[in-house]
Amino acid sequence: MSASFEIERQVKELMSRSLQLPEGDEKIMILEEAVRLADTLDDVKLQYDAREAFIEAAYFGGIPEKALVAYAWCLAQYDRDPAGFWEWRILWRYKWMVNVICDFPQISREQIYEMLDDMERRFRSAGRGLKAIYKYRYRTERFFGNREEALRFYQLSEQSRRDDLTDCVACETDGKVAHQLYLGNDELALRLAEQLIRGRDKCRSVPHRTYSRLLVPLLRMGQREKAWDFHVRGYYMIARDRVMLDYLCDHFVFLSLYGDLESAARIFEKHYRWTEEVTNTYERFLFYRAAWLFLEKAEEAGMNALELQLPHSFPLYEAARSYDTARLKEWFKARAQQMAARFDARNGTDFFTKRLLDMQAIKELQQVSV
Amino acid sequence: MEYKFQVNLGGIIDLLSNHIYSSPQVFIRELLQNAVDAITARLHIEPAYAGRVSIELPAPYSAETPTLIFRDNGIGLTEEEIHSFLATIGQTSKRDDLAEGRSDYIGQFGIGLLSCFVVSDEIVVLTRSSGAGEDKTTEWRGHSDGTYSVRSVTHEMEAGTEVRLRCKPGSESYFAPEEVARLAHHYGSLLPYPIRLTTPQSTTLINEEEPPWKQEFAARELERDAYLDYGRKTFGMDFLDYVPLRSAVGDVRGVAFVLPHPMSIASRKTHRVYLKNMLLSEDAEGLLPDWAFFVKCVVNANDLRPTASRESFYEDEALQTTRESLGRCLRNYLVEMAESAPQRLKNLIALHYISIKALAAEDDEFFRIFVNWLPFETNMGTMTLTEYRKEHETVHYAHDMDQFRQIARVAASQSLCVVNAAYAYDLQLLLKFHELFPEALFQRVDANNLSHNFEFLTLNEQDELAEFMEAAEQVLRPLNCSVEVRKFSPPDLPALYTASSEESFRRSVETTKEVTNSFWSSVLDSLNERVMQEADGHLCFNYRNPLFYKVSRMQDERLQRLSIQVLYVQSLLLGHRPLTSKEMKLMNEGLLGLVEWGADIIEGGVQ
Repeated sequence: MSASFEIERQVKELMSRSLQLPEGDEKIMILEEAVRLADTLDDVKLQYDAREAFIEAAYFGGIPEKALVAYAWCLAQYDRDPAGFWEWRILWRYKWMVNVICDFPQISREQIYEMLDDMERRFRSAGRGLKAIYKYRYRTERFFGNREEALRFYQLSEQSRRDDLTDCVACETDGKVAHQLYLGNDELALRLAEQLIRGRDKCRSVPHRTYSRLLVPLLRMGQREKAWDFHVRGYYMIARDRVMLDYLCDHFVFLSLYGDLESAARIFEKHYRWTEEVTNTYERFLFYRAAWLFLEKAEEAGMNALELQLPHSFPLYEAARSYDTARLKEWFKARAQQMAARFDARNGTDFFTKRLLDMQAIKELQQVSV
Repeated sequence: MEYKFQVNLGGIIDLLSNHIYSSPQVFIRELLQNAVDAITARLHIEPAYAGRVSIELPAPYSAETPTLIFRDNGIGLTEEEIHSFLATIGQTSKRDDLAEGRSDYIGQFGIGLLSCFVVSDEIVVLTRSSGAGEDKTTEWRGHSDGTYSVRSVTHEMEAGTEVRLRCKPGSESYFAPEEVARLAHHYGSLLPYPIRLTTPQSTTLINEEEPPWKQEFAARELERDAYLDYGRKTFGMDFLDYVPLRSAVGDVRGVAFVLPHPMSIASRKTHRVYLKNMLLSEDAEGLLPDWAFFVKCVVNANDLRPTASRESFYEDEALQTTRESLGRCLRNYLVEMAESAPQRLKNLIALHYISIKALAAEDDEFFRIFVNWLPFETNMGTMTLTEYRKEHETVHYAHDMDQFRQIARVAASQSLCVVNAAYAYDLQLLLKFHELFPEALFQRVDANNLSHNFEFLTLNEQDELAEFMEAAEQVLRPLNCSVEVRKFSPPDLPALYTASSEESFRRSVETTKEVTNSFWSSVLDSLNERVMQEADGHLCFNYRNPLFYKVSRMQDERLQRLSIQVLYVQSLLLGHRPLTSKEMKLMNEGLLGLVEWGADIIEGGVQ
């Protein structure tokens, strides 16, 4: 008995230690250990608590597949004993799961749809509205490149009422900005974004994301100064946050298009490491795509070799730190293309391959307008 | 035909005054701001004039309704200015003009006055412009129902503005002399104009003391005392040390106090910041670079922008440059200490090594100086890399806690010192060391490559164990676990189970699948696809362990199988690995079988 008491104490100590840590590997490891220890006891409540903390750390630390595994366990325990655990939280976190599941191309389309259906069933039987469900269906269809379906779900989401499982107001407004950009209404998106930035609604990822989204559109509108301001403010907010790698890529793309290749190279060096740490294929795709664009821009600017500080683990690592631009470009391009093909095969569309072509289009557009 | 909305002014005032301000106390801040702006404006015209502010709490007409009179001798207002500043609410364009066009003003004139409605139902402003030929005193009388009146009065007054508030029921505590004095000091202690508080009993100067960075000191010791004393008064804490701060960009002066206790990376790092000598926030974030969380600061900035909510500085390039310069002040302080006061630095590092590691991780030059000071955890105690390298040629490190725990004990018994690089920044620092000092040897160890170094058996010994190996493989192959026998320390360890991080992930998937429904199990399988094939556990038996030696020679096949099962499960438990139900079954089988066998022997013995 006393041994199990001791283990319980250790689990709790690890959990409270994790509260003192920023998001990242150390926090994830500490909570992983807490889960492992809790599992040596037959105490579902403790195992559940440790996993709840772990899910959050893994999700916001940018290692979502670990969060998925722990979440699946909690959901199963919740199903066995619905009165024993907090319904709201397990439902709320279902949104995190459907939010990242598309990023893994090894998960099939059918599985993704089934997950959304499962989530919808649970929301319904908990007496909740479907605003959040429609929103994630919209995002999924957008991700796949099914525009009409996406628009249909957006409409449904807009027509549904807010409740306690709807994303926060800041996220909702940011979502509207994203949607207007999706529709091509840059001006309207900017107006909404500026309202959001001026206002009081904030959360752990907004307005960080809002700044990122508007960088390229602002260049498109010829508002270079405002774009630079958004970059300065937005990058600072997410520069240390691995889970924001997707939004960091917007800054990376922006700097290449803006013509500040020196700063783009610093972002490249600083954040390449993250692509080795995360297993999220989608975020890696975005980074590789952005790197490809950057390297192409560098090549056009006559920089045939680049001085870069990349880690030993980079497959083309050069101890002398000098890299052949063309060779690097081919490497990132090939990988971006492979990944795009993998996503397209899963999604049953050619949206990702098109997104690579769009990148080229963005580049051309830039040359005309600057 | 177009109509205009009818707006209920009383409601709007209530909304604004009660909701734009975080607490009623800010009315003092707003009054001080207006006063300072009025003085600044007059200084532009009459540079030689001396501004001053006075707050009076006269003996009340009756005990229930105390009064507060707030005076400045600033620029004052003409009647037209009264109408434009004190009668239009929410005219944002005017606010923007003021904020951008005239950056030496702090406040927003009329808007600030609204905050007074939180504590008073009536605001009376008496003002006389300081402009040449302006000798008229004007009275503005505003009510919280949204009405106001303006008239000329015969009341004689010097140029400036006087605001009179009458306490509204429930706000008495804000009119108490001690509270008014406290608030005036809180917001205005750094203001360069005298602020006097007059009560029926006495008159006191609120902002007598200059902050230490504005003073000259005859001796270093006096300076030190003054700073630390200022820190004690401001934060109620005895700090270890102080670092004067200065940045040309942002026109910033101030001080960073070294905290007497360790700080965690994730805690909020808040500082007391003043804008143009007026308190902006007691808990502003983002003033210093991320690594600098071992200090608490007081700074005044004359040239940074506040955010719209006026709670911190606006994130722009000026703030980023300021942050870098303040970081440089702290960095120089540390570097200087490394040269001149190593013992003090040692004490500081004992408390704040994480902060210093964070800086070393991003700054090569700093790293070179400090690498000799930074502590690392190893399986043989905490030491610096220099100390480590005195004893060991190659730096061995485990990159995560799981690996470190798996190998710590075995490695120690082999005199292999392993750095636990799982803590924040440690891995980054080791890699940087490797990069900056390429001659240093580094080797990452995990349980797998550790066991690769275990001593092999001789051919004879291998022959002896042939039957045992066959039995062990039969037991363990279905569990995805390979087997081997080597010689290693400590001899009391019968077997070492090792697994890669992929294996750990696979294991978590397997144990989870035991509880999930078929749908989620299929999702987990898909997720796991990538790592499924290559992932394997590995069990290495220790030839030097007496128990193993006996087990390996058992003649009874069933007994041997049971013993292998138990040794396997025990090695999993030693590594804190969760058991799958299959393994649980193995253990039960093994234990019960052995108990049964033991019981049989005893029974046989009794017979």
